[in-house]
Amino acid sequence: MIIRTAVHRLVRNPMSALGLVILMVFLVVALGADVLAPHSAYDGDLQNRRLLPPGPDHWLGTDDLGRDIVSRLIHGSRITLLVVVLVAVLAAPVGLLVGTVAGYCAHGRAKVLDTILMRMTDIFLAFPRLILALAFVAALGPGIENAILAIAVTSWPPYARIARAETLTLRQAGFVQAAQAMGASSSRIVWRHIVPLCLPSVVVRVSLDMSGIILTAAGLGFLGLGAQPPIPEWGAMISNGRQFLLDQWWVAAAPGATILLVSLAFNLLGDGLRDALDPKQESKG
Amino acid sequence: MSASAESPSEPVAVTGWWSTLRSATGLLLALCLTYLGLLGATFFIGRVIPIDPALAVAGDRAPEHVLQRVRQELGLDQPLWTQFSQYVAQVLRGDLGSSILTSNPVLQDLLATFPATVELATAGIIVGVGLGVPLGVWAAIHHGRWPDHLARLLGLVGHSIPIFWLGLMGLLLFYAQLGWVSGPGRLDVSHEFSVPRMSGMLLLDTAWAGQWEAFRNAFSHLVLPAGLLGFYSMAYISRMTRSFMLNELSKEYILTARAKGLAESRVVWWHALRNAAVPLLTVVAMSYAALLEGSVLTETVFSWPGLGLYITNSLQNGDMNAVLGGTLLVGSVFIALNLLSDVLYRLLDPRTRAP
Repeated sequence: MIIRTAVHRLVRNPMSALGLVILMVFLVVALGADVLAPHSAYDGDLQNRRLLPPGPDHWLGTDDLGRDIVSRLIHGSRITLLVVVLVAVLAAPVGLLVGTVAGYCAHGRAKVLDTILMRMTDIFLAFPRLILALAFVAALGPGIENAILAIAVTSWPPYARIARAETLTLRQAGFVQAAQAMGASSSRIVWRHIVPLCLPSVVVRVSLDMSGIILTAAGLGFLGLGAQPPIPEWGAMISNGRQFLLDQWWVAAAPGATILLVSLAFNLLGDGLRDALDPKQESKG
Repeated sequence: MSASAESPSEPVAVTGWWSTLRSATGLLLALCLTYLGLLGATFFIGRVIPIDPALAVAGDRAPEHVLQRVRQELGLDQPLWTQFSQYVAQVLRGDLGSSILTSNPVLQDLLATFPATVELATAGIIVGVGLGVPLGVWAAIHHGRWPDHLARLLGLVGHSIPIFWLGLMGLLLFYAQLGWVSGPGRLDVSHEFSVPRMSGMLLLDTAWAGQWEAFRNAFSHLVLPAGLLGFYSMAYISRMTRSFMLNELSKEYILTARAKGLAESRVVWWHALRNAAVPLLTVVAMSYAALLEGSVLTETVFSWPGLGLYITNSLQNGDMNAVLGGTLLVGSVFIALNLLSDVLYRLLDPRTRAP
């Protein structure tokens, strides 16, 4: 019931509905890239098609190796989708685990564990995330896998905070005490009873972070630390187009506009999601 | 966003100077722990992740006895724990190693490049606060109507834009097409060597030396990157201003002020904004920190010879000493800003103080 009103409110808000539509298109494009791309993303025509302006044959022009930019953007959406999904899959469970364990131990004999875990989280929260990710990738070596790993390593702490706050309220609940009275082990209570209930708020927070993840990945790509050529990663494409900025501006403009579009869609949706899930906000706006 | 955003809400229970002492000690302890954590992270990245740092120093064709010697000199034959304590001692002495690229001590390089970054970020945050706070207040006053939606959209766009791409497009439009501003760099070559180096911040230095021609030139170089950074931080600042203002405007003292017949502008700008300003400080401090951190990307775009460009150049040349030194510096500034906003919060908001 609550979820249904939330979804209803979400779709009724035109801005978040727009975000949802853009993301749907993004998803379809990423999954059907092979069918949808009009040209190859990797093979160009250096002799005849180098740095062509946007036209009927190449909607957004071609790059310095004669490759169709639209096709590269379409294939690049896969990379972005991969980054977003993998970071979420890597970082959210870590944050969830740290947060629920810390929260469950907060008032018991294992209070020390809570202190240690949350200190660690606070320390990570105080770090500059982009620079730390940069240093990580610099040490691990450039590449899309290492970029994903670096972003994941720096993005779990907020999830831990949320999960802990949620757990603190849950552990007083009757069903947890009932489970304790029946002799369930702590790990069973955390894993089977608390984690499932903390999951929704962590998932919401992850969806709010998506655009930040996309921008960080694109930034790493721009600095040459993310996906390596010839992979059509959007940030790396901007970096490549930078050399031709003054005369062939579309090479750099197109991938940036695409990043903006997808990241804006995530933000529009996230903004609506926050309002839809928090009825208190509704009255305030 | 950060630890500091949450900690001020914890009430200080004990009374008098004892509580002040206790919270000061607590802050200091947290500070030391956080800093130790930062050192741990850079140590881990620099010494543990690479398979053999000696290879990076001596080169992978070095004969075995050279590698042995390098390992001994770097202390790599010691247990990890000893290595870490040596590393901490080194950093505390200000020894960050020397850069392979410039062959200077890293600390000296950092001190030389940092003022340029501070100048850019400060100009950016001034623009950001100057635009963001009025926009947020405006949105809060007209809450639910078109100014509110406009501010929301602007904020979301600012939040979604890749800053380096915005910089490139700004250069394309305002420098290449319209010619309104100067291009990449901080100064034209003609002024490059005539400005005396005092603070390292060109606007201050040129004004101090009375070189107004150079001042204008430095300003025309600064205005585009600072404006774009300002737009970027405006997004977050205006959004938070709006929500703080909405929170204040719904309180009873505002009703009282209005009932007294005060002018609406005085109620909004004097009564409500002054109360919203305290939590806003944290937001501004965080935005400032984000601008310093984001300098890695913006400075690359604008060839701005600051910390960010230094770090990226070192990255591309595998100069880990310089990268980690830069990381430490940015991290220290982050921690300091966190602490500063925490302390200011306690000083400015009597409610967080003991009765």
